[in-house]
Amino acid sequence: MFNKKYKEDNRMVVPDANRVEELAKKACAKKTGSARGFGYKPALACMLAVAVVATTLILTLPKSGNTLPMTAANPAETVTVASAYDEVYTAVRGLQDVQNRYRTVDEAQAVAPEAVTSGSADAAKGETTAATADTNAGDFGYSDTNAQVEGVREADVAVTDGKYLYALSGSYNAGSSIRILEASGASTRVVSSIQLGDGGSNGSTAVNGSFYYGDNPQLYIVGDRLVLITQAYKNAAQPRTADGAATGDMYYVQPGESTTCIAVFDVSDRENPIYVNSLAQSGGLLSTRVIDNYLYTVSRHWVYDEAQRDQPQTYVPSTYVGEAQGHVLSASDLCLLPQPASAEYVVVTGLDITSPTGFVSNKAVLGSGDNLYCSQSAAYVAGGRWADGEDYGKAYTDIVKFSLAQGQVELCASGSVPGSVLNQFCMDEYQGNLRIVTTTEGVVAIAEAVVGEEISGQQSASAAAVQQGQSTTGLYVLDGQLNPLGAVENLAPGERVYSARFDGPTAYFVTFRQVDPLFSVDLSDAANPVVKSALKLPGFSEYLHLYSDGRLLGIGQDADENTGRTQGLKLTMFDTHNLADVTVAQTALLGEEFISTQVSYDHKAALVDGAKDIIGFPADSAYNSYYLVYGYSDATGFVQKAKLALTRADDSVYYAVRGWYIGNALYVYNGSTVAVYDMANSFAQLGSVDLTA
Amino acid sequence: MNQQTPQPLLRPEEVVYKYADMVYRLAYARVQSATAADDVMQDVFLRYLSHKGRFVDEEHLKAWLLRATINRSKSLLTCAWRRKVVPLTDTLTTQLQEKSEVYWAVMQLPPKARTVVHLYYYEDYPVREIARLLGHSESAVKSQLHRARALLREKLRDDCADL
Repeated sequence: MFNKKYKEDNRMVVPDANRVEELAKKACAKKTGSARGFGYKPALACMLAVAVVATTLILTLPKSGNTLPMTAANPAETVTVASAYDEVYTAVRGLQDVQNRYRTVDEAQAVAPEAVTSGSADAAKGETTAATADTNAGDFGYSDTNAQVEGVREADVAVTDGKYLYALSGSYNAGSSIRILEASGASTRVVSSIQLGDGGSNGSTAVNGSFYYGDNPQLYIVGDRLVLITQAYKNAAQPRTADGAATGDMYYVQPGESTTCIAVFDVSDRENPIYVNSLAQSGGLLSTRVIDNYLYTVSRHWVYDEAQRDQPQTYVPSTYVGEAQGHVLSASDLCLLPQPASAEYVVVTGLDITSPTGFVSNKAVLGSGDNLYCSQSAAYVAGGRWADGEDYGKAYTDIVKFSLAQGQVELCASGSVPGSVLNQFCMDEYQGNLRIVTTTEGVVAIAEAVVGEEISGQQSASAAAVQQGQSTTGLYVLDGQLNPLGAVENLAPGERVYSARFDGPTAYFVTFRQVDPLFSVDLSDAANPVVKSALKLPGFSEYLHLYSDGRLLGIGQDADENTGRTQGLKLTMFDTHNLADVTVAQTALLGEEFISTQVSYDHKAALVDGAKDIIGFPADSAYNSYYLVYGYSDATGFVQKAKLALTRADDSVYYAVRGWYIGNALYVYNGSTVAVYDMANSFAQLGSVDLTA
Repeated sequence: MNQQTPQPLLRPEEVVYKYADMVYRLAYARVQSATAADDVMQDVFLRYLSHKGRFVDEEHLKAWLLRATINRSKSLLTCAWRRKVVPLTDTLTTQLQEKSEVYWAVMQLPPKARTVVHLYYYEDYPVREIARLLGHSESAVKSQLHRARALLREKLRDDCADL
């Protein structure tokens, strides 16, 4: 049994007893009058505070603030703009106090992986000829980062503008850096670097002292500006110690307080990047988008510390510019969801990359968010919530919509649908309406509890509960104010969504248990979505890409029809000319050799371009990793054009793999190397650059 | 905050004795080297000793230590992208680790997945708490777990009945 063995194994991992003794001696020596252990708050005062705050929460929230116009059809979801800090304090304290501190055992069922996969999203939208079928190519003969929506760019660990590659790289000796490479085929080379951290045990240091190279770093190149976004721990600007003293050491920031940091560099001279400015916002990085020259950054700020009513910075998120003190968001920039799941904010900021002296605007919503979908004019943040009342344990997704215009972020509306959202691809805006695909879990927890009791007389109740235990899939259409317009529900009982893709008035999504139905839904009448077909296949697609007119590509896993056990990598090309009868045009079963691909959970690992006949993606065999390139035609199916070995010095370390084409050259990045291949000459290798040197 | 009676205070050296193993094990799972894990452990406890804030209760302290371990080992991870898994002979303890293939399979996971697996299966933290520790959403943690389980199932066909 895994659990037992892992625990046993860990018992053998012990520190050196002498080192522990040394530390304990230091601990004794350090002890002064004041206790260094943990203390307790006066218990009685605490209990009273809970009672008062909890009641207040119920009474005031729906009545205060500026209520946005919502129809009665959506009574539960009225987001309100805060009228004053006090109202926000009340809400936050209430959430902190009722948050369940007791351990709950989480069942192993989990949710489907966040198959974060995207392709360039424009392939079909009505106009398609083979030449314009895939806009990864753009107009410039190179492939851009694989983003979901045309005109809405997404960040990545390595990016290109068709002339240069900008790649994150790190090594123990050299520290972490951004490498700028001139992408010139055989003579590709590093032209400059931006150092982000020293090597060694000192860890990462700052650029300009304002932030630390941290977790989940990602880049944009926008004209002559290079933008780095990372989740890190901001120093100095947040006085968080008990006595209020500001300290320069970032580790005195209470653990759990992440900050999302943005650094902008001017790379007009690619060989001499110049630091321009850095900004930050409270919370861990959720996602970002760039529209034109505006960066929208969404973070999640969890209020870890106990809120102090007269100190808004303890319960309201802040923004930071350079090394200046943080600026707490004003109450009018704060909104409250009617039923926030926890004391957590979603913070949305807008920044002009060409003039990053400060954020253009910022907003925060008290309520959590897990996924971000952005259209060209709106951001939709979807957060999961579990109901507490009669439908206890049932999952809902709250959606908050912000309008985006030239860096201005405004709260628009909020809405709610049953179920959980898998990833950004499960949402899509079309003609002002939001379409969203969710999986509603069956109420398994309650079913098991009732069955476990086996009390006579409750048998009928338990039988009913067990029947409710099946998950189902639903597609919901909400209007511009996130009011319900139409829906199609209770699809694919017992399964959950594995991937989705929208194409104007059509939605495709894949559910799976043992067999994968690919659903095709006609949404041309927004109020009446109609399932046109449900094509069943073994295995499942985790990433769907609109390949060309009438062709939908699926990358995923093959599986045994009876047991559901996955059997390796599979490519599927669906024929979607006739929505009422979607069929499989061709399949490639690669499981003999290739087990998995990063595309399953990272859409940016896919390079798909129907016009150039390129389907590129990393794949793992049992012992090695490769970058594969396939071509496709209806006549010959999937044809392997290249199988490029990815060199890995260290098998145990994970790295993101990316591929781009620029002209006839294919560039493959694997974290430590950029290798260049000639697509016009059977992918012969032209050269390679070591990014860690 | 939910306690009705005051908890006895742990003396600093008691904190060290009680939590050294926990910190070391999580650090080791992340940085995969006894030396580096030792560095992390030192760092974490030294910072704990200079910590000026008060902890609400022992849970808070424990979470602080885990979070600090994650932070501190994170900088080692990002600077040491290519750190190799240290062979069995390089340990600071005299007890030889005869770890099963389960442990090595976990060590082959990507760093975030290893962390989540360790906190879930060794520290028995529920998803909600892991999400708080890591500053991620619960669904992000769940999908990490899901992915990790899938990867582990591939490697450990026999040992994974409960994954």
